[in-house]
Amino acid sequence: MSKTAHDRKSASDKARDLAALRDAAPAFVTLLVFQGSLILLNPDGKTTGWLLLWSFSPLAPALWLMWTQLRSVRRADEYQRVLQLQAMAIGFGAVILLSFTGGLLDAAGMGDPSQSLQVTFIGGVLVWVGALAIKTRSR
Amino acid sequence: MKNCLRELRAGRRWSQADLADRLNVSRQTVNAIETGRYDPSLPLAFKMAELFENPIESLFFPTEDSAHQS
Repeated sequence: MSKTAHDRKSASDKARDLAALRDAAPAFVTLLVFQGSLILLNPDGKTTGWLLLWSFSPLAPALWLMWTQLRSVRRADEYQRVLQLQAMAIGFGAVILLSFTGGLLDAAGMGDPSQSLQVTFIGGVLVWVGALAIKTRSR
Repeated sequence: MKNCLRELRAGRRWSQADLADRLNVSRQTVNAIETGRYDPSLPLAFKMAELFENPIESLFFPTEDSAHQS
């Protein structure tokens, strides 16, 4: 659906979107490259020696992504900051619930803690991003 | 808090995006203020008052609910 003059983005919105893309895209690509290299270099998942050290390499682009998120919050206007804070609170709640569920499953002798950790991480990020998308949808 | 932003904006034939451009905020923010879902900060409210050349108290006025909150 095309945007009319009434529901077009403001100039500051366009500038913020462009800046966020410029900030986050290289960090995200670097994260994918590092993560991909780990899978290619170590397909069986047994990390020893220098591979163990290399397995921490995705932390650098992850920190970079955190920094881009911080910049995005700084660039946001006052109402967008409120929405971002609400979305982060929902994501944080999801992480707490998922980790608590994982802990309960572990205590009951069910499930795999490393899988629970992955589900918690991915689920938390998805809920956070989903909440942000719903809250900042155009209206 | 209620406001007459929509009427003032319509009087100047500006879209929400036009007003957002002038206030350096997102269109969503203008929409949220106009519909009463968000009360702007004092600096933004003063910016609006300056833009519409009206005193701030003629743009925003408390509802019964907001008066009881304080």
